[in-house]
Amino acid sequence: MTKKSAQNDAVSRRRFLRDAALAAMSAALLPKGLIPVALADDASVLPGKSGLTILNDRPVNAETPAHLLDDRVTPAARLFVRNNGVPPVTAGIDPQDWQLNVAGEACEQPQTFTLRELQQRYRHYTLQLQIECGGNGRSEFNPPATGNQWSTGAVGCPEWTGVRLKDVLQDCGIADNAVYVAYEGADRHLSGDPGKQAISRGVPVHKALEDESLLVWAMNGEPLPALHGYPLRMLCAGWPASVSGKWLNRILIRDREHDGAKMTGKSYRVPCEPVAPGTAVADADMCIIESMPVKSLITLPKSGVEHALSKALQCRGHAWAGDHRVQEVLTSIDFGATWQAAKLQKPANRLAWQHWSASIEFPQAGYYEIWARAVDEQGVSQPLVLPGWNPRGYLNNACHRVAVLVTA
Amino acid sequence: MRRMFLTVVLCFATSANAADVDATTGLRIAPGWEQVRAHCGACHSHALVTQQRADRQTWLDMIRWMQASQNLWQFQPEIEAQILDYLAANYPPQPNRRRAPIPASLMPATMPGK
Repeated sequence: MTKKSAQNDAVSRRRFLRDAALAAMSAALLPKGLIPVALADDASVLPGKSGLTILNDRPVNAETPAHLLDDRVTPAARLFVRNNGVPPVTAGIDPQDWQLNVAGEACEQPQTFTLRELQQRYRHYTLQLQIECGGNGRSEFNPPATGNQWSTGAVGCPEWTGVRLKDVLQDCGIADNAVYVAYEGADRHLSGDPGKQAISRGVPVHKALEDESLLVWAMNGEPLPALHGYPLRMLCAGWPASVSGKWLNRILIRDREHDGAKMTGKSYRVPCEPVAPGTAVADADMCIIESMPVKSLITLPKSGVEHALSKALQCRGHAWAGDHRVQEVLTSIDFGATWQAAKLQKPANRLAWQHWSASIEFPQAGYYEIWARAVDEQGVSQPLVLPGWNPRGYLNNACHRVAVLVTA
Repeated sequence: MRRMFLTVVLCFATSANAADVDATTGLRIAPGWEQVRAHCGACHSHALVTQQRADRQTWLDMIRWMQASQNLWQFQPEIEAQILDYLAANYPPQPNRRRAPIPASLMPATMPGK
């Protein structure tokens, strides 16, 4: 398709959407192809998922209630879904023939690999790696931040299998002027415009070259689920999950900071200098988010339970800290007045979340909140109230709270 | 799928009566809602509207961003005003606070005094 005809297609698609929208005003019926998603069935929106809260069905975005994230290794059915565009139709493809092109201004020997070639040529690694949406926790910001209103469930830590990104990049030649490693995927822009990307982000070269930065084809020993990037995705744990591109078909070794869709403007950026809540911030004053902050979840008990005063309450959950390790997890039942150290396990490998547990006794019957607070190896703690407000509502790592009614 | 919208409505629109909410889109039924249904729902889910809270300027900023980068078309001024009036009136920011209490949906079912 020529560039001009692609543009014409895009314009006609946009006109079609507009005209369809206007027609719907009078007819109250949408034409074929624009059937409201409300009329589709659940299974077509979230195949393979169980118990997730759907925030948005077009594009599909769904999060996992905290008590359903109790597994040490997150099963596919419990992993949040964050899509920026329309996933490609991959049913029926031969995954072995899926092609990955490696190119870019700072790539010395651009190459194209099939998934089969990647699997045959490079050593395989299997790692537990946590991924968290940069906007996890957005719903708590005030004034409200724009975007999907995630509460606490846009995080998970499955076990991934693939090859090291650096093994592939080094074979393709990383020039001295390389700055950024970016991805392009096969998902389409929501508007249907073939000339627009849904999302194309990436990481600085140093992050791409870490041992844990992978190109993965399997999750928990199974082929990647369709919603999570089948048959191939990038995985750079500890950073906003949007750096871990799905339905991967190209990697670019850039000679500059990548400027793809959702790299610029306010997307996945926070004010370079802290601002008061509600401040208007110019795009030029927004800086790219890198490592995610220290955070934890209480996955047992479920918030809202009743518990008998005579027994200790068994609590547990996970903690993670972006590029760093979690040093300790503390719990409080008196709104942060006093804290008790929880048992904390070492990570299965670097960038895996860590499991914590605590046995809590209550002094008398009544209403309690269990608060959990993690501290990373640098001594940096989760805040008890909201961290710095930012226009798009990223990086809310305020301590998780669950409600418990203790009965005599 | 209707169940899903019901969930969305319950989570984000608890102050509205069920009768005031369109069962298909989850939008609050108030002047201008058909414009929002038609123009905002062509590309994305109406849930992206119903879960959001913002003042008039922030709603306008979102529209301008979608027009600049997401292929949203231009509106006639009177249509744009109807859309903004609807959004600002029906999905306004909540009272300011540093951190809200735990949501009602996560509280014990039988609370003393309730």
